[in-house]
Amino acid sequence: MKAIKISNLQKAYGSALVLKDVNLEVDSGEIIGYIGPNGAGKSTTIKILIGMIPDYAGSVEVMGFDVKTNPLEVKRLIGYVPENASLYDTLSPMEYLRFLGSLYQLETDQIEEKATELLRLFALYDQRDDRMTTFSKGMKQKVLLISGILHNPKVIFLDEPLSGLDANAVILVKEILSQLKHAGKTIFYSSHIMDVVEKISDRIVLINKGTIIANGTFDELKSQRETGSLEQIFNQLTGNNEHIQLAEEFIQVMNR
Amino acid sequence: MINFYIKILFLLRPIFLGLGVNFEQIVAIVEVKLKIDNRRARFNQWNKKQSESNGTFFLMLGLYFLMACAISAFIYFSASIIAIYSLIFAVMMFMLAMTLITDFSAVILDSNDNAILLPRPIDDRTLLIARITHILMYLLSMMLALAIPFLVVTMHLYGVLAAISFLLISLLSLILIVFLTNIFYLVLMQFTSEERLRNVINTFQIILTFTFMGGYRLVGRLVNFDALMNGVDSKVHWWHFLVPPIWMGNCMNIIIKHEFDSTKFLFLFLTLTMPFLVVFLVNNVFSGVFNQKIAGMDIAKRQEKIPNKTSKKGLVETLSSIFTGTSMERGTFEFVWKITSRDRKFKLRIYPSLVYLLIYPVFMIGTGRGDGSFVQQIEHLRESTGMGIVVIYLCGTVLLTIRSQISQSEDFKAAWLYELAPIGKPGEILSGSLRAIMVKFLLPITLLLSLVLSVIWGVNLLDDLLFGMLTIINLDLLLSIGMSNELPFSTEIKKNGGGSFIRNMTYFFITGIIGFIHYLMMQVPYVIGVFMVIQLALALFLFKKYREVAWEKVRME
Repeated sequence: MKAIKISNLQKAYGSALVLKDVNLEVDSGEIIGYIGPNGAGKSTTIKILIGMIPDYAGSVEVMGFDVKTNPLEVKRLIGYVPENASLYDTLSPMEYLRFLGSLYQLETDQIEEKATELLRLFALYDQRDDRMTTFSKGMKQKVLLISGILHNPKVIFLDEPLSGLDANAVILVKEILSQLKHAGKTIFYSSHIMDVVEKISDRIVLINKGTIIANGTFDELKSQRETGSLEQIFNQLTGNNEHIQLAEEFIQVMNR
Repeated sequence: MINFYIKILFLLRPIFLGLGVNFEQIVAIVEVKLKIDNRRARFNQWNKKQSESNGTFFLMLGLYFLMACAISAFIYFSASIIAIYSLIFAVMMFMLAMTLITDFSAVILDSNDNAILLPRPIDDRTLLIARITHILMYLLSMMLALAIPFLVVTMHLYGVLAAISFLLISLLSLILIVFLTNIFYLVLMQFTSEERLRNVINTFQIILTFTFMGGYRLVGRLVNFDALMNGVDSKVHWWHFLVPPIWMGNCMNIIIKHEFDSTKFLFLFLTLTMPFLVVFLVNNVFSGVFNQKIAGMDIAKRQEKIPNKTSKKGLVETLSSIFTGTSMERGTFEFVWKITSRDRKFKLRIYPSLVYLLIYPVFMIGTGRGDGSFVQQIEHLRESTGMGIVVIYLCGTVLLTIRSQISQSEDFKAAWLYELAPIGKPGEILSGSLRAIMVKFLLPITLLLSLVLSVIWGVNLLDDLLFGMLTIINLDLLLSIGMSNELPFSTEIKKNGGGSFIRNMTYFFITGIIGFIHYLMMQVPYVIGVFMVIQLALALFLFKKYREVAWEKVRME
């Protein structure tokens, strides 16, 4: 069984077609690096996969369940950490996680025990009963990461999960991701930080203007192009190589 | 509409320049704020679109207009110019003040745009005046909706000069009340540190609400039914000088009756100068610390530990396990309980409403006929059980008021978790939220009320209390099951007034009618008892139904 199976997915907002015929299959235990320029349709794909956007054309299955007909089953099996997400920050991390756990109908004792341990691992143990209004972006991001995996999901969707984290936390999260993979979890990783994607992904999927334009391991992508890093490949495939000229113009306009 | 407001601003340009503020910045800030108010992004699962609507605001204006029409009829019957116009100005100023405190406090004390505005070269005075101007635009509309019926009747009865004077005095009263309220806030800011400010602001709002209600009651002492019919005695008491509507009523008397003496002159003088004095005070004396204090409002202190540690089972957890059934209900119960205790903006919006809902009964007791002592008035009350019923239903209205506010939050974007989590029936969330509100707010009020009722009317009203609360709960459940619902803390705070005050008044009206039916039923023995059983059964049934509410009945914003 495929962890994720997308066939002929289309999604339009009004008359604007955001996703045009997306096809993608992901095996269990894979880390997929899902990249693409701003507005390419990355977030839309993820939101469809996790059942937040139910009106689309085509078929989308997660762990064998159709997202449209079985959204609750899918939601139980997935975890999601959105980009720059808000949380109810008048609550403490423990209270927030308790609430979230109750929505997943987990046992209170189990939530508390797990949440306490996970907070300890992220060095937030001492702040577990503080209101999150005082938290830095990185601390909130840690809470969000925990909230995405608290219910032990099978497929984990991460949207720019490292944003705001300090270098130590980044190393820790990267290590956690690779351990999760060994534990058989599927990870769908979306980011703009190319060297991280390059390093952690088993497979890289590049989407541009609503279509997948590249899909393969980093080495496969590299062999198709001469250039070295993922950043350069990305720029070649989706950019217009005008960045030097654009930067010059930028300075000129500013100086006017 | 925005263009109209901006045109008004340009008409007032000399005044702004006179205040020494940066006019261009004021226009820019006010224009963009009005635009944002109109353009509350509304996205839900099915379609992302922007709706530009001001429906509730215009509805509110319409209600104000109708209310003013009703009151304006009294101008024809009134024997005393002073009495009727004092009453009119008191009504207008009171409505504006209450709207200002309940709906616009959050706008004045807004810290959302700190990151955008504070790093820019905008001085304290300009930012403060821009905020006040923003609110003034809405209050001006309300003032006009209220004033137009009076204006027409005044013109009809007393001619163009009186009408123009009325309009001018109305505008002065608007300026007076808006800047006066702000002076209270600013003085408070002056003397408290940022983090104390966050804690005392609710207490302060309550005091402010009291003060304005007290002022309103003073007018009531001058203007009662007798005075309207037979005229007031011409004696001027010292407290007349404390109550602006009375100055203004006297001014109208000068203009219409051409009676003029030294005390009358003093009233005229106060009417004409006080608004400018408060503007001067706000602008030149108290605006200095505004930016700094606003900036400090959101910098929370580290020490904000949550008292009950998670290791121990706290009060909330105990209550939630008693009063809820499913795990989602329990989670939501605790969630709603905690956020309502901590969300500053929620408290800013809800506490003033609570105060006037709970204080109204006390004032009504005070309005009992005659000026007898407190004991005498209580004696008097005992004779009318109808009054007890009124009090029960007024207090019950609290439930409806809080319920209407519970979906709004500054953190509404965090509501994505409702869409992420495997929630089969959002009814469980809604029912958890209702239970929390009932236990946290309605239950203590009911207990307190049972004490008050027993002392004044004896224990025989207690079954009526139970019946009344059941009726209100059932009413709320019926409305919720029948209409579309919003999940707790999932929608944006309505900035352009949202009409909390007028909505509360509408609830008063509805519960008033139900209370009257209750009163009629009381006249027949055993009827309440029989219906109590029916109400109880209905409540149990509705609670079950409410838990089943499906996603189709839920609106996500």
